[in-house]
Amino acid sequence: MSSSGRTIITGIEFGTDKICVIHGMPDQNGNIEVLSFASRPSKNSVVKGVIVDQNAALAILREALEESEKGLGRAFNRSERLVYFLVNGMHVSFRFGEGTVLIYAPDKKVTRELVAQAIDNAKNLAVSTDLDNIQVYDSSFLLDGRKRTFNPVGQLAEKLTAIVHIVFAEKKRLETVKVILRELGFEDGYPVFVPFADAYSVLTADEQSQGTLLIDYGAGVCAYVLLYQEGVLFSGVLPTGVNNVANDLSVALDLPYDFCHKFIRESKLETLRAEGKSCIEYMVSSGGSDKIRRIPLDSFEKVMDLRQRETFSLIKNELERAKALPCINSVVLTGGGAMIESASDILKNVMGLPVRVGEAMNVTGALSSFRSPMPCYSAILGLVKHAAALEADSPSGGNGLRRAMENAGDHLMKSLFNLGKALKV
Amino acid sequence: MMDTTTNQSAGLSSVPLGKALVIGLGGCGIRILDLLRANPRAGWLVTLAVDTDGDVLAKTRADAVINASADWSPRSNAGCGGDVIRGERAISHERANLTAHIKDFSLVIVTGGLGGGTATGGVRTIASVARAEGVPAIFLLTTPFSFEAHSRRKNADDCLQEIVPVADVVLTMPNDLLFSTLPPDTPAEHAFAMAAKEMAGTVAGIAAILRCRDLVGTDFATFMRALNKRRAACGVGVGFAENSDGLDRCALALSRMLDSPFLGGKEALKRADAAIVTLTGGPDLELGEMKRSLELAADVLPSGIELISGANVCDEAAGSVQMTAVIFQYAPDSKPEPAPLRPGRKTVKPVVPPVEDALPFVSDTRDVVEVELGLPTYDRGIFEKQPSVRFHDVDLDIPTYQRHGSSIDKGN
Repeated sequence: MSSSGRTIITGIEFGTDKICVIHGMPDQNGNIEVLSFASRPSKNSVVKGVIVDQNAALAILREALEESEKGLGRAFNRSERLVYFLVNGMHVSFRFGEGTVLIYAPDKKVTRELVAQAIDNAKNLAVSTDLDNIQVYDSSFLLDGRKRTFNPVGQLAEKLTAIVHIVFAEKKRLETVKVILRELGFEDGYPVFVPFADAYSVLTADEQSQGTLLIDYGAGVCAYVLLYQEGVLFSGVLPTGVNNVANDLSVALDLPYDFCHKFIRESKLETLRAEGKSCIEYMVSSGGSDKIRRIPLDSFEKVMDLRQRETFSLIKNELERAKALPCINSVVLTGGGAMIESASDILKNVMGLPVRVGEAMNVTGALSSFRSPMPCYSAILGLVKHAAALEADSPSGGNGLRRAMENAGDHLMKSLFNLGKALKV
Repeated sequence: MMDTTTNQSAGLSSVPLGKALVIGLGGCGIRILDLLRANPRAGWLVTLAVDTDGDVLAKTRADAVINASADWSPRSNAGCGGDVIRGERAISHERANLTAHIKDFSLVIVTGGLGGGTATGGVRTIASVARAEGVPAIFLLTTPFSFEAHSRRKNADDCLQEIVPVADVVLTMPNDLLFSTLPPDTPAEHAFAMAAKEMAGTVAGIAAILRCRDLVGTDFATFMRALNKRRAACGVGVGFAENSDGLDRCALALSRMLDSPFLGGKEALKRADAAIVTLTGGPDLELGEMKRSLELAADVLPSGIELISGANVCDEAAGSVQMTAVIFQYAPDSKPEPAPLRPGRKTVKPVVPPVEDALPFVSDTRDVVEVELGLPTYDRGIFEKQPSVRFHDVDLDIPTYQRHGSSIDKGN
């Protein structure tokens, strides 16, 4: 707890590009005040959103954590802290759960208790023991198996069916993160899937209700979620990200990977085009002599276009297969990949829908510590908002929240009943 | 019939009068452009010739010329010799020049012949410039004859595979179709001249369809809606008649339109799913004439199809009428064809032994055999040492251009 009585939330991201730590807390208006932030390059300890070198990741996180805590200006007992961490990667999957309750009350009115019971039934999916249920969101409800509604409380029916969106992650991957957190003195951590965290920070209330596809185009993977009527219709992960674009350039044009990565990150294509150049000059040393290679900018554009178009087309195909395309009214692109200038144009072309680049809204405080453009930090900032939204609902602050989290049923209920409210932050 | 494909692009609108640019790309494109220049009804179109061959450009009648000269690429001012990479490099070098020409127009029509170097290599750059400038672009491209070299047809196919996702509308016209309506004893020179003239007429016809919102409007958005982002076989017919041709000039224009080789004949009309028909006339175009001719056109099309009619009036068409029709037959599965995941794997026809050598009463039901031509070599780059993460059985760490078999100019 801070001196003002508000709980300081710690958020951690094990990203393919960077490992970062944030300390933040909500203000009276529901905005997020960033107290401190620190980021370190992942140095190949994380690949496609998954930790592959536990010791290296631990060392990097320790550095970032110490710097961030130093920024707070006071010492904390980590074991008493609430810590949330972002989950991403191909081990994250989702299923739809369906649960039904019969309404015996004479007035046939749907109550909150019945909704909770239906949801409780819906979440009881038979899944592999390797998977952990990390988040549950309501998708929609059916009254008498026919009438679809998103808020059934108060309506009349004989039977209520809840359809929920359950996000699973591999237990071993989650345990790896928790081991690292325990090593650093935290008691436990709570996972949040990246695009759900993004949704809290970058989407407006209208976007949450009108059908928005939110894509987090990260360095290693591309995660997405489709929000409709404040519920979750679809989510998923593609094992391709900005690093693939850089790798494609590197292979196609015989250039070092780091050069290509920098080329993308610094939007060199657009800069050189604005200068009226049609090729890039690259110095190569061969046999003791230097030679200048002239590589057409169109070649860069072609390689980048092919990869991005494929990535977005794969997302579109997944949504088409789920018959979810008609529910989308707009697309929001965030994450480091959103900074590629051509990305939103290609996405607009592929989806045939308006696209905007999303960055965290209503955030104040120590923003100078963010060294990259803001869309790169949408998820970690959203993570704080996500935690704050749950915190605000908890009757006894952090401890209450923790109790709620420990109790799967309560946690589920809190998630479900407060998602809509929380997303409106 | 031609193949068409559309992509939706935000901000596409109708084309104001006099704001369309026709780009002739390569030798074939410039030939078409010159014939278009000679067509008085196409006088409102601005033409731009783009080529790597200085001799061709010296003779063109186009309004503007871009000599694709790349000082950093080997160049002799005499074309790129059918080399797609050299063509691509030369045109991409002129990007700034192309942007300056394209940016003030509301529609760009690009015409050229695929299979060679300049047009095949350059269309992607023009599509990219048009997209960057937010100018809708239609590509009217011919594909090589079936008797031409395999490499030319492969160049054309590869180019189409790349251009379709990035262009707004692509209409490809097989050269074979051009000559399907001509008798075999037609002199070759005459046949080619006819083909270029027909192509020029088609360019003018397409431009006329999208020209303005004069009387009954058709515009680029209508065109896009008719295609509905679907792949479709497409036919274009253009019929022209003057007052001096007879009493019922509109019926005559309709009849000539139906005889256009690019329309694909009356059988193609019967199979159409959608059609855009426009009538362009001069200030003397009468209401009754317009109504009757559009009704006649509607009568020859099957009932129940989506028919979009339009009528324009322009001063250049005084004393004449032009009827243009674009018909669409949607492909049953109009999704873009998936890229070959294993380009090294080929299917070939078996060698059939002579009948007398074949064993009696033994029938081999196989009509094709698959021959393994060795595993394709892919370079996964930085992901080489990492385990493959497959998505729908595709290793997405393999560069996309390798899986699609696209050629990339590495520079020099």
